[in-house]
Amino acid sequence: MQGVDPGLFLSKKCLRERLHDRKNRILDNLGIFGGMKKVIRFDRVSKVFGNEKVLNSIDLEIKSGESVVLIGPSGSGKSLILKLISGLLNPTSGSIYINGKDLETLSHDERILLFRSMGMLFQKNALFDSLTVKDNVCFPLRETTDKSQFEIEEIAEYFLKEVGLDHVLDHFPDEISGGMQKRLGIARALALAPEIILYDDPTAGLDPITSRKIVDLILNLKDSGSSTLVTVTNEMNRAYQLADKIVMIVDGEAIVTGNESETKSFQDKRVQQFIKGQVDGPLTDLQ
Amino acid sequence: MTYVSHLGLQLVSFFDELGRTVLFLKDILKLGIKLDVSRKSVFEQIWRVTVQSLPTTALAGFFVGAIMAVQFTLQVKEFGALGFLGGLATSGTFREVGPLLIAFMLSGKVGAFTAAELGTMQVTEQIDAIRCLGANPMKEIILPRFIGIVIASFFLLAFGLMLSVGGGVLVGIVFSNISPEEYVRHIPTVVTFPSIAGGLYKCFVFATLLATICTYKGYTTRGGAKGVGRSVVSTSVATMVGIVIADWLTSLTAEAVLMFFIRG
Repeated sequence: MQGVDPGLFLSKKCLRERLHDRKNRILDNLGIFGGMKKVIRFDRVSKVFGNEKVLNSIDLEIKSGESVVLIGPSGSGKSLILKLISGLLNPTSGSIYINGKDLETLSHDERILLFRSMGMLFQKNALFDSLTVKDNVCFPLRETTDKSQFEIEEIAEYFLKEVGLDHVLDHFPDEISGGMQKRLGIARALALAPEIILYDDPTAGLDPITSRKIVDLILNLKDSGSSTLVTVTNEMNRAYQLADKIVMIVDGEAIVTGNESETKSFQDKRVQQFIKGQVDGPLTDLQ
Repeated sequence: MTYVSHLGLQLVSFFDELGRTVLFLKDILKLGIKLDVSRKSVFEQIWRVTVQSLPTTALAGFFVGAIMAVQFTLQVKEFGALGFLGGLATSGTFREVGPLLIAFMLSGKVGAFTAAELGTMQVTEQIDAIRCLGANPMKEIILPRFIGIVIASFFLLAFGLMLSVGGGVLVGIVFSNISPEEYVRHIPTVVTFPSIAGGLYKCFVFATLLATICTYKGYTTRGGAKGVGRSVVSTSVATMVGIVIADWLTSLTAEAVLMFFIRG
């Protein structure tokens, strides 16, 4: 058997998969995709909880500076994708690449360093309720940088001013309104000037005016930096406002529907039912 | 068959939980050895636990001493050996009953509080947020609490034991008509260094056990408000059962060490 290429004994499917992997490895090493730097890539990612397969071998690519909005029915796995990107959960199978690095192959310290380049706004804010508004923003700076206390406070005050919370610095999170809590969550997520920002339903439970203000704030902050945004929302107006690219997560699949006009004319009954909010259709049958 | 399989599942689940707790303790010790922890956070935790539990511990310690003195009075009176009341009551309190009862008190107070606090942080995603901000929750919130609880509980237990002498003295005066001087006179005779060391050894083991169980249960809480409630209850049950088993094991090991030194 010596000298014989083992590839000769592989099936066509296996060979195709190997070629696919090799191509992706080369692209990852170059750190490019379609002329733009690829920041996040899902390669046949599946996630199973018990007997339920929530994500079924999905492929997804998000480029640098892009704003991607994830839409889809409740429980379809949108927030799960954010948790997979942020490393809070691991995929059951498949690989997730952040800046060309496979999360699975990274050591604990490498993962921590990588995740410092990300910020996340949680659906229910996840603010530190025993810390003041200012200390919530100071926390990541204090724990992960060598900055002096003076510098840390200066940065925290800057971000809190940016989100319009400079008048409640010494309040505790439960002493401010829901909209203010969202803004505080955004300020905390931005404190480390992350390269990737994940927003999990940033307008959930807010009135339309506050909701609009939050999205404007997110867009203004994006314009002032060059971050890549991944946002989960089910409010289509906000999705259109935020998205360079919309991805619908449904039935374990990730359907890339494109920008606002492309999404509106996308030829998939499930997408059309969802964006139009129709009661009857394939999504209702799925439930 | 159903009963047997249910029992089997319970056993598997118990050993699974025990294994996870041991691994959790291993992770804490690994971090602790590096001394990679904020001293300010540790002192804050020591202060919090001490202030929170000092009155309870003091009260528990005082009454444990008093109870032991009452029990021993009945025994030694028959033999006309009231002079040894202080020594015997204090020895029994230091070596066995004191650490056990005061640790029970602490498990209800410190253990339940810590499990509820960490559990709430877990279910409101605050621990996930710490991780997402590039910090290590084990280092930021678990290690300071663990060290704080071990140190504070150890000193609280020791403090409670000292106060138990006061409780014994009071009982001696009121019920046994012996003076405080008479009560304490034979304490050094009966309460030797190995008794004190044995008591302190138990205090340290109980404190470590309490800190491990309550931080583990809180950190692994799942399922909203109900989950937090479950964690608090299981912390109380697990610490009490754990302390009783640890008491038996520490008594055995302390006796074995004592025998080794006495016989050479």
